[in-house]
Amino acid sequence: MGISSKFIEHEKKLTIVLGDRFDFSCHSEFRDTYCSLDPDQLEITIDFAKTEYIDSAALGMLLVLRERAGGDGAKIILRSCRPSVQQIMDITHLDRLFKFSN
Amino acid sequence: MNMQGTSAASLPKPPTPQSAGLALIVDDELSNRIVLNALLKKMGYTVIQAINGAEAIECFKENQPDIIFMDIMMPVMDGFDSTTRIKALCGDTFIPIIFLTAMTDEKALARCVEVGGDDFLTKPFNHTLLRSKIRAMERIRDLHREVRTLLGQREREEEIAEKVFSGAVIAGNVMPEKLKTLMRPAALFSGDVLLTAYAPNGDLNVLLGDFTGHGLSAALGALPVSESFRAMTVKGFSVDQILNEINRKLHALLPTGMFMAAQLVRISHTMDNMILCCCGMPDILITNSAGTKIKHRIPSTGLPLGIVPDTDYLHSISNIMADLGDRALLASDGVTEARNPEGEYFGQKRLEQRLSQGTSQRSIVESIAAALEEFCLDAPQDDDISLVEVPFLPEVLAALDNELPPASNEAIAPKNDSSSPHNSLSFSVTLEGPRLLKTDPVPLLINQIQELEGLKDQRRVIFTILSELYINALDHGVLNLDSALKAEPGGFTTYFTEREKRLQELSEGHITISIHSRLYPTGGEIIIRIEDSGSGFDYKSYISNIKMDSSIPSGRGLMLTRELCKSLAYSEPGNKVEATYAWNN
Repeated sequence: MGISSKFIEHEKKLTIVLGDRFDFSCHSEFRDTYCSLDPDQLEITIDFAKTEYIDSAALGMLLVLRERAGGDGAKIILRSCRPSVQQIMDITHLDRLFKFSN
Repeated sequence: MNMQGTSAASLPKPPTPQSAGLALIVDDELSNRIVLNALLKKMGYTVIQAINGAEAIECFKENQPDIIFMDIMMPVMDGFDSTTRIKALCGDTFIPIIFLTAMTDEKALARCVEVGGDDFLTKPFNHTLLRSKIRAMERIRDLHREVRTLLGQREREEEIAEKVFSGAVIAGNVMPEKLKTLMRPAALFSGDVLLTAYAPNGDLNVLLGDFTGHGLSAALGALPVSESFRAMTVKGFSVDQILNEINRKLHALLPTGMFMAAQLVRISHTMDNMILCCCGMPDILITNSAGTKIKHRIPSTGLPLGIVPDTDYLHSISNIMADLGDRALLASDGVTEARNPEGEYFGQKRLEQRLSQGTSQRSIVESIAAALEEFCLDAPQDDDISLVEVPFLPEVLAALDNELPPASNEAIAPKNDSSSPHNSLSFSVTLEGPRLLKTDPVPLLINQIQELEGLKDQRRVIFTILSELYINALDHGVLNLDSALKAEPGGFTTYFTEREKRLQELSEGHITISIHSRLYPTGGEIIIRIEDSGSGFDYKSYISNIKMDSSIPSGRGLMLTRELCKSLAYSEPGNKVEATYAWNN
């Protein structure tokens, strides 16, 4: 719950800040942050700084965004993952598909 | 289809098409009933009346009204008692009860709702207000009916899906007694799936998959996965080939964002190694036979299946030397993420602590199940919990010996039949250079032979012979690997790393496999010749070594092959082998 986003149109930058849990219940809220935009034209940063827990459905939601943003050409950065979240990313090897930053 | 089976839908009441429904007025005062009756008729209701709470119950049982207006103070039985009993009779069906009362005391009004009433209005009531309340109740009642219908439909669909799931996915599993499992879904329909199957050589493959999400949509993918897993295991494909195929299939079938994390373990019939692969799941743990010490951890090395179209899982696979009685523990993240009433996670630490403590229980699964129960108490379960314990024991393998047709060492061919050209079949195939890395010809050849000759009972045996001889030709011939490597401490891993390296670098070399088979009315015979480009090996001392020391971790395949065959002969310099297998129908 509690996803917020900031869109800077002239820089084509979208920042999505997630809440403390990122799971299936965030599905529509997460999608609403980008569905009215053209994600494949954007540089997207997803901020995990507050996030303690993610589930596999959340990984699915990230993959859907990745596809909408152009698949292999997508510019998506996952920022400030806490250890509990990073562990999930490591286990699932999503580092092969997304860029991470601190 | 209309699934609605509620009593409300099957009422014996005869409202006219434009009727708003049947209303029951419960009041001991005639004047009140007359006023309300007039109002309700204007709104399109058919009206029935009762003069006290007891009569209201009888009236309710007989006519099943759609809405009830209830006075509080009445002789025989008051409105509170009557409401309590009527609501109990309603069960799941929603029949609104509105209290109409002269009482204005807050406690009495609050009690109206406590006993099950849905609303209240103080007398004398304002007609407009009552009309609005009735409309609001109708809206809630309709919504309630719709939800019930939808829930009924969903329940039925889940039941059907559950039947298909257990029929097609679970029923095909082999379940050796020593394999211990705990599968506790969070919803009726689980996002976790356990699949087991035997390879033709008797190897056991166990796959634990965890789909994104839970419930019906999560379990949809289980059908194609089980199909590929079983068909490819039975045909003798390797672990990485099976994973590649499932990955390809899931990527093509599932929408983006749906995928399957998986753990896979293969117990080799040679009883010296297991092959493991973990893709996006928690570590696979290998414990000693007591289940108290963790000997190996197999971390996730591969992407979950279905995310990207082409991945090769060959490099994600671990090959581990195991001792008799060791146990492989597969677990979904629902185990470590199970929460207690305080919201704390069970966690990897508690799981491993429980292991190290040892236990009086017979299996690790039972022990951890007990620990989970103590920990979670009655906290709601958020995720599917799955635990599988695969012991490294010959008992979990296919009971090959029982199913083998006796290897007949007697010549069974009638003399005049051997000259008949109609009953024989020959073909050969040569693999060169990098093709040896990419193609495992054994399953393909077996399918070919089966298609041409219609073998059934012999399939497994021929597969074993063919694959043992082929692997020997590849490892010791083309790749020139020394099986003595395996005998050294940690040698098993060295051996397979080296094998992998040499395969990757392979640019030349070849293996030719020739098959010659003959069918007789009473049985058949198949001759397999394999020749490799290697310099040959000292087969004489190799074979005599096997006899002398059966504890060395190599050569068992060859020994098995020799037992299965009518004859097995290497020829100089040891890069050619001919095996003959014969059977009686």
